[in-house]
Formats: sequence, structure tokens, C-alpha cells
Amino acid sequence: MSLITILFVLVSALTLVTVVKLLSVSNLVNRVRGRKPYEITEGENNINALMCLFMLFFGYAIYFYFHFKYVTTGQLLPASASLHGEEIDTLQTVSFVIISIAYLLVQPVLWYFAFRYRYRKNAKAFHYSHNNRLEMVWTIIPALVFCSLIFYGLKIWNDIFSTEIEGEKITMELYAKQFEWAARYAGADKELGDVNYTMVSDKNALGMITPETIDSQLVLINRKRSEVLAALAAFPTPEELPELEKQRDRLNHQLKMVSGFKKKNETAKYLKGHDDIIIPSGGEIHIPVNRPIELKMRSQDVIHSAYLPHFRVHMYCVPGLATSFTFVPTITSQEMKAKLNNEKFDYLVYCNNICGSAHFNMQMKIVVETEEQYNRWLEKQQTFALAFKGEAPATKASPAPADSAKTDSAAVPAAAPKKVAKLK
Amino acid sequence: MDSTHNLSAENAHVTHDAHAHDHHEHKESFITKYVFSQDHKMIAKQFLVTAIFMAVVAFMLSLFFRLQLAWPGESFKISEIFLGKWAEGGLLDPNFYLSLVTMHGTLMVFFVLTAGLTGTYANLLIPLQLGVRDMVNPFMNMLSYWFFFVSSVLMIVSLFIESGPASAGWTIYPPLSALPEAIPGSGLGMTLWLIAMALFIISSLLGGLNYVATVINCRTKGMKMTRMPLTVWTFMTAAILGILSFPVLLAAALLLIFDRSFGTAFFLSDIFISGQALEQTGGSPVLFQHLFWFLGHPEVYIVLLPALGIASEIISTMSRKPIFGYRAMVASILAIAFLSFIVWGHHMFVTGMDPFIGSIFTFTTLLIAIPSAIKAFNYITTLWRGNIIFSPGMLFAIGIVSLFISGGLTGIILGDSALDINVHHTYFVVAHFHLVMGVASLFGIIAGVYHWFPKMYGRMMNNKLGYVHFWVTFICAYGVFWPMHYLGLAGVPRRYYSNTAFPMFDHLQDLNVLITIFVIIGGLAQVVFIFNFFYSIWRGPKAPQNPWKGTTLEWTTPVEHIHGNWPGDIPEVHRWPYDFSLPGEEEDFIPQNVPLRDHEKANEHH
Repeated sequence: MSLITILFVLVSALTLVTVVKLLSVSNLVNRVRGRKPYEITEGENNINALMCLFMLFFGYAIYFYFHFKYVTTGQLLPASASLHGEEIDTLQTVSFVIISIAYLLVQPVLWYFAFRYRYRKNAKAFHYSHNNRLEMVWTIIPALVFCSLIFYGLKIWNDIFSTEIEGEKITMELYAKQFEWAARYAGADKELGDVNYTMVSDKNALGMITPETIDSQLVLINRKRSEVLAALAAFPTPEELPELEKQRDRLNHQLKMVSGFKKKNETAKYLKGHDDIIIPSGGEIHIPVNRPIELKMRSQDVIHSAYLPHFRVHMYCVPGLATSFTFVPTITSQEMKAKLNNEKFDYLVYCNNICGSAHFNMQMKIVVETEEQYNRWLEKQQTFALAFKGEAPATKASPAPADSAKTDSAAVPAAAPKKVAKLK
Repeated sequence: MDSTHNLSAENAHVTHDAHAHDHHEHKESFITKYVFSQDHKMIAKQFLVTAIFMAVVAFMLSLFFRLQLAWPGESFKISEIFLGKWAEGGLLDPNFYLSLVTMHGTLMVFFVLTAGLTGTYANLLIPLQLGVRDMVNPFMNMLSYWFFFVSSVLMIVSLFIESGPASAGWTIYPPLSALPEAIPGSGLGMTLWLIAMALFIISSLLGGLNYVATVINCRTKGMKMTRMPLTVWTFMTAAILGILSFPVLLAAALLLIFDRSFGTAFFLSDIFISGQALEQTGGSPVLFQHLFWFLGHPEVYIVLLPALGIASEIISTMSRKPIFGYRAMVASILAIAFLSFIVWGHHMFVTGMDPFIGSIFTFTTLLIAIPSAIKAFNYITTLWRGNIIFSPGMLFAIGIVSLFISGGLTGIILGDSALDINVHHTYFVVAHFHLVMGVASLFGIIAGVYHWFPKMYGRMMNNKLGYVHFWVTFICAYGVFWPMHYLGLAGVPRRYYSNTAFPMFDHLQDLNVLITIFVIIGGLAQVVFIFNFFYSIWRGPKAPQNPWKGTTLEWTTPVEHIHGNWPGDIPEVHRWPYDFSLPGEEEDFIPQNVPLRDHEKANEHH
């Protein structure tokens, strides 16, 4: 027990005793004065009425203090950097004006009435039980206001999710897992290759299905499976048994799935992924300005949520469910830095659905640049086929040195693309 | 009480049981009177005291995560003392941070606001205000409390287990809540959570069926539905909401139990975690969200409506005026209740739900604003030209209206699907629902305690302490939740252990400090209340029969509690409950059991 704890206990006990004593004294005083101890005196009532009047100003004070400190000075999110976001911002401003007016009108009336109609000895309340016309007024006015807000809002909502978009869109994938993001571009064929969660491995973090990944995955699963089966055969303890059985069942299921892809592999179906470009976690997403970007979301484990507040984009990444969000960025990263006068500004995607211990630090940088810059950047990226083989990151013109890398890179293939991101 | 006995409650004019009651009381032992009591007044007090305990626990949990949010990385001795290994060296563990927010939400929503509000006041007031001797089925009523008690014990026990309590958020979205590999709290902690909630739902159903049956069947002579106090209207409506929606949560919990323990795939699909591909395919995590919010949204009104009912009653009584627009109030309650069942999707606008369904939910959601607006305006008009006595209960009732307006208005932003995109799951949401649902409903409980304390314990609480309690609590409520709106508009997500990983939030850190300071001050104010509460139970001045000069039937019962509520005949009701300050009358109130005078009969109100 430290001194502070003892002191704390002492002070608390003293306070308690004092309050109890004060209460008995005040009860006694009341009795002497012939007043009931619980009676509310006019003085007390007036003090509370004055406090109500104070609340009227308090309500204004907090509104304007925070408004001028954070809203008008641009301490919150900067203006939208996407096309649909501008419409959202306008709707948000309109809605905030309406609710601010309602707040600034209605709260003071509540507190003023409370103050104004405080108890007075000879006064009598006005028996006023209803007034149909008045009630119609405050039913119809909010109804009209809300209905117009609804239809305005729904128009924007439908525009955001409408399938008709002007301009050639870029389809890419945003991939979430505990606690990092990855991204995938469609590559030259402009089509994202097939994926499946049973294909995920250290070498193939996004579960791409290509002839090569299928073979490598089969080897991996069979190895793991024989390990588990061996452990099961070696008389495991009752504690280990359920866990091993679970692993066996899962591996059997995985084997069945992956073998299924092998059978179907007679077609060229699984070649689409060869030219995909994967940006692993720790990298940056690059997108060109003024082009529609379709983000297809996928999650590996639990629900994550891709929140890109600067673009007013937000969509859950749900395991087993395809979700997407299409938007058109309108301001490049450089322009935004200049606009905010902040060299350190970055567009970000971060997780906004509770996903585990490091949920609070699951983010990835997004770079919006001109179309030329974007194309130049894209050219420098390695295709999945090369990355999977463990080719050294390089431009398209240098496939030769891959040979030397091939032999030892199998152990660290996942690390290879990371270097790509850092190369720039 | 046996069932034949209850029949007498229905027929208020049957007058045989004054002696029977004396007879009953002789047989009461300590166990039957205080523990396994079947008396609705005692059960109400049991619910209240349990809820106060749970509120203290839930508040303490929030204190620890608020300390972390205000001063991330700072070491707090107090955290280590209370949390032990979860805060080694006074530094909160990130997983346990999520446990804290999860358990804070769970305890507050279900164990404090649902059980503390409905359990206490529906139990206390439905029989007393309707002129009934007890609930239709007192035994079921007792079971309702004890299921709740066991559920509470399990929930509290889960705080102390080795792998930690549930930590997937109070909404327990799978797969996070289904996979112990994803978060440790989804192991035994989640199992206990699910069992506790299943028991809680049973408790809620036993109570709810009783409330509705009592209101429909047992009203005293003359107590037409349109003469019921608004409190009873809200209790009945909330009970109906609970009966219709809680079973859906039970179904969701059951399916989740199957997914967790028996390898089914209701909510799980395509998951690769800790190096293994799970077998489950074809399940839908979004299905769980639909089921959860099918309860989750009515739940908001299950806790809010009774608070508004209590506010109606107290504001009318203490303004010495009839509630303005009684029929519009009843219609609003019913409209809100109906709409509350078709708006749940507004929690899911960006979960991958079809955008078309999203637009339907936007439409129904914003419609709720209309009956809500009517209610707010009617409260304000009730104050107009009143003769207001500021009892602590009255202050809290006015506080409810203020919070209902502030919190309700921001709902217009969140209910609009297009705007929700950018504020979903940010602190804007936290601010909104804490003001309109959390604090407003908590104020409902507290207002009720001050107002009906004389009915519960036969003594009065101290007003001066009540005033201190109200003003500090009220200012702190705004101090805590008002700044959160701005955090949300800046894009700060909820349930983040700290914002230090984001330089873009650095300049907002002083808001988090401000919020935590208000949390601490607000918490201290609750100590005043708890002291006042327990001190007054034993040492408060003896209460008169009708301290607030109310018109409803509970004030016609004797101060001393008796089994069966009224010593002789059950009073007959002749008028609506709001005959305050009638012109030409000597007194400024006429209780419901006073027969109409000749001149009144001609122009009866309701």
C-alpha cells in the first residue's frame, strides 16, 4: 500500500462522514424551521431555473466553439477528392444546415420555457391538453423537410452505385487480412485472374489460381497432410487429438478443392492471373486521376472494412462475399499536398471494422497521380507469373538474371515483391 | 400469488381480499420476501439494484479505455491494479482494449438499459398505475429476474477468465466472433457471452409476456386503454418489441454457437486463418448482421421508449400541466414501434448489402424522424405556461428531451445512406447513439429513481445532492459526446486502440483528452448519486403518500408496501391521468380515482 492509496482512502472516508453529517444537520434544521426535509424551496427552484437559462447559452456555446475551432478552420476532412464525394459533401452541408437550425431553434426554446415557467406561488399552470392544428403543423413541416432530404439523398446514393460510368474504368482488387492490405491490378489483359482461399500460401498471399500455383500448392498440402497423418498415427495425447483431427479434416477439404482446380486446368481458364500485378502489404496503391476506379474487395479471414475517407469511399471486405465500390479520384496527391500546405499528407485506406488486436494500425498508402505517371509506375511492376517464379524485380527487358535467382529464391518469394515497392 | 387470486385483480369491484393479504404476509420469510420474491415491487427493486451494479462495472470498463485513448502509451497504476495481467506495467493490452469496449457495450445496452429500465419500471409501475394487485403471473416474473441474475453472473464471470471476455464488439459480427484464432476473446469468453445472452433473452421474454398480458387483461375498472398513463403505453410497446425481436437474436446466437462448435457454415465462408483453410463454405457473415440488427434496432426503442414514457409522466406532473397531445403521443409511440422493425438495414449500408435495399432502409429510417419530432415538440409545449417544480427527477426528464433532440438530429445524417458512407463506424456514430439512446435512456432510469423512490422505499432522496448530480452529469454528458461528432467528421474510426498510427489525427488528440476528463468528472458525479440512493434507503426522510401531487394510481397506495398493493378495494378509475390545473378547481390536480363531477361529465376529455 503506497502512501497515496492510504491518503485516498482516508480522504474518501472523511468526505463520506462529512456528507452524512451534513445531511443529518440539514434535516434537523428543516425540522426546526417546520419545513419538510424533502420540500423544494422557491429559492432552490429558482437556482435550477437559472441553470436552465444557463443551459440555453451553454447549448449555443458548445455549438459555436467547436464549429469555429474545427469546422470553419478545416481541421476535419478536406474537401472530397472524388467525383461522387463532392455530391456527398453538398448533401452533408445541406443536412447539417437543416439540423443546426433545428438544434439552435429548438434547444433554446426548451430551456427558455423551463426557466420562464418556473414555479411561482400564486401562478397556476395553463390547462392545455391538445391543439390539432398546431400538431398538424409540426407533423407536416418535418415530414416535408425529411421527405425532400430523403429524395435528394437517394438520388445521390443511386448515382454512386449506378453501373453506368463514363470513361474507361480500371478494375482492381483490394485485399484485406489481419492486419494488412494488399492490392492487385488486372495487368495487360485487363481482367483479374481467378482466386480461391484454398490457394493461399506464403508464396501466394492472395490465393491466385494459375497452373504453377496449383502444382506448388498440391505439394505443400500433401506435405502438411502427411505430417498431420503421421502425428495422428503416433498416438497423440487426448489434448492434441481434436486439434490434429481438425487439421486433417481441413487439409482434406483443401486438397479436394485444389485437386478440383487441377482437373479443370485443361482449359486456358487459369492463365488470366499470369499478368496480374500484386502490390503486397507495405506497398503503395497507385491510381490515375480522373479515371473511374473499381475497387473489388476481398477478405482472407474476418470482416474488414476499406475506409478511404478522403474519397468518401467505404465498403466492407467480407469473406465469401464479393463487394465493390467505384469512384473517380479528382485530385492528385501532389495537388492535395499543395492545397493543404502539408508535405506529409497521404491518401490512405484504413480498416474501419473491428478485426482484432492490431485493427488500429491497418493502413495502406494511396498515391493519386497523372495518367502518364501511373502508366510509368505500372510498367515497372512485376507480373504475378514472374513474381511467383521468384524473378528479380526488373523491367520487362531483363528476364535473363532470373536464372540465378531461381534456385535460392523459392525460400523467400513473398519478400521479393516487397522490394519492388521500395525500389521507386 | 395463485391465479385465482389474480382474477380478483381483474375485477376491481370484487372486494374480498383485504384479510387474505394479511394472512399472506405472516407466512413471508426472509427468503420469500427479499430473495425469491414474487411481489412485483420487490422484483422491480431487485432489477434496479442489479442494474446499478452492472452500470458501475460497465462505467469502470469505459474509464480504462478512455484513459488509454486520451493518453496512449502512458502507464496507469490504476489500470494495473484493476486489470492485472491485461495491463502489465499499467499499459493496456490491445486485445483487452477490445474486450473492454465489447463488454462496456454489452453490459450497458442489455444489462443496464434494457433490464434496468424495463425490468425496474415496467414491474413497478404497470400494476401500480393500472390498479392491479400483481403481475398476471408472479412466478414467471420471479423467474424473469433470476434468469437475468444468472445471466449477469455469467457475464461478470467472463471478465475474469484466462483468455479474456468476448472482444468482437458488442455486435459480435462473425467471423471474428466465431474464430478463437482471430482474437483470443472469441474462445471461452465468447461462449460465456452467448450463453449469458441466451439466458438474458429468456428473462426478457418471461418479463415481456407478463407485462403485455397484465396490461391487456388486468386493468382496473374504468382504466380504458386511452386512460393509461404514457409510461404504461411505452412499457407495453417496448415489451411487444422485445417479444418480437429478441427471439431473432436467440436464433442468431444459436446459429453462431453451431458455427463455433459443430462445424456448420451459417455465417462462415472462404476463410483462411493461421495457416489453414477452413472447411466452411457458403455461409454469409452478412446474414448474421441482418439477424442481429433485426433485434438490434428495435432494441434501441426498447430502451428509449420507456425513458420517454417516464419523461412524459414526470414532465407533466412537475409542470402541473396535462401532457400535450396525449393521443398524438400514443400514436407516435406506436408509429415508432412499427417503423423500428423495418429500419435495421441502416446499420448495414456499406456491408455489401444490395444498394437498392439500402435505399428502402433510408426511406423508412428518415420516416422515424417524424413521430420523433412530434414527441419533442409535445414535450416542449407541455412546459409552456406550466408552473414548473424542479425536482431532480424533473431535471433529468428535461435532460432526456434535450438529449433526444441533439442525438436525434444527428440521426438524420446517419440514416441517409449516401452520408452514412463516410461517417459509418466513426466516432460520429458513437456520439449519436450515446446521446440519443445511451445517456437519454440512462437519464430515464435515474429520473425514475428520483421520482418513484418514495414508492419503492417509502423514503425521499436528498434533493440537493440530486441537483449536483444532475447538473454535473448533464454537462459532462455533452462534454463527453459532443466533441466526438468532430472526431467522427475527421474520419476517426471507433474501436481503435490508439490513433497514434495516423499523423492525420494528431491535431485531434486534445479532444480525446477533453473527453476523458469529462468522463472522470461525470463518473464522480455518479458516486454522489449512488451514495444518495443507498443513504436514502435507510436514512432518508419518510415519504408522504403523494409527494409530487401526482394523479396516477400508484400515489393512492399506502407508503408501506403491502402484498396486493391496496389494503381494501382497488380504486376505480374515472378520468384520464393528466387532470392538472383544471380551470376553476381548488387543487391543481385531480387523481384518476376521483369520480367526475357533474359539470365535468358534459365535456369529458378522454
